[in-house]
This record gives sequence, structure tokens and C-alpha cells, in this order.
Amino acid sequence: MRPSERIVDCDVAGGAPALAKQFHEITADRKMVVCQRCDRCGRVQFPPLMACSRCSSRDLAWVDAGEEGTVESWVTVSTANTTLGYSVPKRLIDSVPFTTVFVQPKAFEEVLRLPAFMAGVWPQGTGRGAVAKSA
Amino acid sequence: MTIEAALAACSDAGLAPAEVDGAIKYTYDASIGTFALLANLGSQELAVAVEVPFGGGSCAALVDVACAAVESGKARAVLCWRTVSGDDWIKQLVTPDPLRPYYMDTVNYLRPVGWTGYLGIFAAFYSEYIGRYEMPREALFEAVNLMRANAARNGRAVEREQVDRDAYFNAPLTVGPFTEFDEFALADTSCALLVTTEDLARDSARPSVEIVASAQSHGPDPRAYFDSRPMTSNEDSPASWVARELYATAKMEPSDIDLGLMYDCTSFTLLYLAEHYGLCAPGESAARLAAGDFSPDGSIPLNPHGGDLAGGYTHGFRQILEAVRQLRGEADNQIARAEVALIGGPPAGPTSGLVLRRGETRQ
Repeated sequence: MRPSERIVDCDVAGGAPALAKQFHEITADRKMVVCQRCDRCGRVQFPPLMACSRCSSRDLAWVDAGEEGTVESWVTVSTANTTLGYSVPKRLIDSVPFTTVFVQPKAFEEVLRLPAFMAGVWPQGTGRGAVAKSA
Repeated sequence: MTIEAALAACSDAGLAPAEVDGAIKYTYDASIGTFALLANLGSQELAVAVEVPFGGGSCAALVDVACAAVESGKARAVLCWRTVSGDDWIKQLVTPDPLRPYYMDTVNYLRPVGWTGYLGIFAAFYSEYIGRYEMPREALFEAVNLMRANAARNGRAVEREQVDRDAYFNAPLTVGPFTEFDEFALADTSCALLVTTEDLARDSARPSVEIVASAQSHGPDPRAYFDSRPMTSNEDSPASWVARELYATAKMEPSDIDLGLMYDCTSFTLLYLAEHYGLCAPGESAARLAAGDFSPDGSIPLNPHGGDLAGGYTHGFRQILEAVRQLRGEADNQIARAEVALIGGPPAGPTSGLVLRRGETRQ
């Protein structure tokens, strides 16, 4: 599949829970990074909404966001402990330390930072703009 | 706790509790509802009862809404309050509820890739920030100890001891650049304040404080609210938009501000916000902190009460009370020149801010 290829209609009528369900099914089945695109004006957006944030169209689709992008921000989680301020997702406790990265896909020009999982700590001395490739 | 704070606010303002005709609270907190509070005060008339959702971003939003009610003539004395008890509020915030999908929506997309909650948001801002500017962990350490030094002079604060350098730098990192010391303190607290008409304030025996400007904003990219904020660019945050609106309404420049009361859920948030509210230039906060400019005797003191970082978490609401105390010259850690104060909410939207000025002295 090519980056920005249309996958399926977004179930906007089903509201936020339906969109979340679709997202999890697509990412689990196809192992790809996806976002939402407006069929009418072409705007891409994430997290998904129930209408296009530019033209208000309700005709939205899930699209492939490609396999390459630049890291604009990141968060390394170094502990499995929990306080009021943070808790590590149960499924990832054995993966600590790990990093959440926010990636601008190469396929799109709009500011769009898709969250993704990276194993291990963020490499010291590496700054913003590092190239990310999905594995 | 809430009733106690509400009665204290009335007593301080010299207003009979029965005269309160409006009530504004956060949706998620440990207190009673708006109607119940008014009933307990023996309020003679109900003009407005509103809940403002969300957390730290709403600190000044309550006052902003109260101003709208008072300025329109709808209400005369509106009580705004924040009660935090243990982790009740956070449980409410993270409990799925289709009627208030704020939190769980974003978590659907963030949690599978390792999202940890609020600390992760500010850690993400930090990563983006250090790609542009200098902010060594030394600055975070100094910020923690500045808040604790201020707290030591505030009878109401909880974290009053300095953190030893070795203890700080040997402490394990938790999320991003943060250690246990960089997170807000916890306390069971209730804060209350009254927004009233000019004539009621003038009649009071106690010095009043003028609300010069109040503003709310979610910035130009509202899809990226709070937890999802790192999914967009953060060079210019919703707080920058609040700041611009505040200065325009107040017809003031950042140089007109005598002290800043910043939302400080982490050490980094305090410094980052000083920049977003224009109290120093972008990229300058670490150097200004090291130079002592943010200390109580510095050129632009920040959180002379120790903030939420050392005072106990109130979602930034305590900052408004401290601003009032400073402007009245009644604060525990009183700064020398306090005519105009700026209260700034978090750099993730929706957020809010206030500019307050010392009221005219009663003749």
C-alpha cells in the first residue's frame, strides 16, 4: 500500500467510540500507521474527529500515513512505578524503559504528529528532526 | 472543607453569605454541587450556577465566567472555588463517561504507545523545547528549590525543605527529564474567592482587587487539547494566545507585570510558562532563573507562595488567591512592589489567565 492510500470510511456516525474501535482494528490487522483524511478538502488530522476541522465535511476516511517521518518530540519512560502524575500501561510494564515518539509523517505537509512506540530510551545527543521508520 | 473556604471568602469580603447569588465550580473535584453550596450559604437568590469542566486550564476560566455574569448584571456576588482531596478528582477525570469524553478519547490513541498521564505531556514539551533552547536539568533542580524556598515562607505550603543536590541528581528519572521532586505536591485543600460588582467591592471594609483582564483559549488547533497537545506544534501554545488577549484587553505590556503566578504542575512548566506569558523572552527562562530574576526580590518574582509544586496541587487555583494576597500586601512571603499580577494557566488547551491590579485604597 502506498502512503496516503485510502483504507476505509471513518464511522463518524458511531461517534468517538466507533472511531477508536476502527483505529485499533486497522492498526492491529494491517500493522500500519494511520490517520484521518477529509474526502472533500483533503485535510489530514489526528486524533480523529467527527467532522473535518477545515471544511466541516462528515465524509472522512482512514488513510495510510506511510512508514517514514521525523521525530518532533519524545518521552522516555524510565520506571514502571506509579504516582498520581503517571502510570505505565499494564501491557508495557515489561517493556520499560521505552519511549513514546511523536512523528511528523513524510507523506503529509500539514502539522501532524502521530504517536508511536519506540523500544528503549531515547538516544542521548539525538535532537528533534531525527528520522523515524516504522518497523 | 468547601463550606469553610466559602464562608472564609465571604467573611474576608465583608459580605453576608446570604448575599452570594452565583456559584461556579470545576466539574471534577471533591466538593459539593453548586446548588447545594448556595443552599448551605443560605443564599437568598440564585442568579447563576455553572460547572466548568477540565483541570488546570480552567483555573482562571471560573473567574472569566463569573466576570461575564457580573458584568452583564445577571449576578452580583459569585463564589468560585476549588476543592482537591487526595486523588478523588483524578478518578473522576479518568472514569469513562460518554457525557464527558474529554480524557478517554485521547487515551484511546496514546495509551497503546506508552502514554503515562499528565507528566508525559510536559515531558513531550520539554523534548521539543530543548531542540530549540537550553534547559539543562540544573534549571529544573533550581526551579524546584526556588518553589520550596518560597514555600518555606508560606504557612500554608507543604514541601518546605530544600532538595539536596545529590539527592536530586541521584534520584531515578521517572518520565522524561523528571524525578519525583519535579512533580506537584499533594494536599487536601479548598480555595474560594468572590467576584462581585464594583460597588459591592467598594463598600467592603477590606481592600479589593480589580480584575483588569480575563481570557480563555484553546489556541488555533483545538483538536490537540490537553493530552493530545504533543500531536501538534508547541512553539506557540494556547497559553500564548491567552497572553496576547490578556495584554490587549488590559492595554498592558509584559513589563507592566510585577509578579507572575504560573501554573506549575512540574518544575519545567513554571519556566516554560514564564516564556509563553512573555515574562521573559523565549529560551531565556533558565538563565533568568539562575540570575535570580524569578526570586521574591528579583525583577519578576514567580509564585512567591511556592506554587502548587511545593504548596499542594489545586489545579492552579491557589495562584489566584496568592495574587490577591500579594496585591493587598497581605501575603506570607510578601514581595516589595505588587501593583499588577498575572495568573497564567497551562500551555495545553483549553487554558485561561487573568490580570489583576491592586484596588484603590478606601478613603
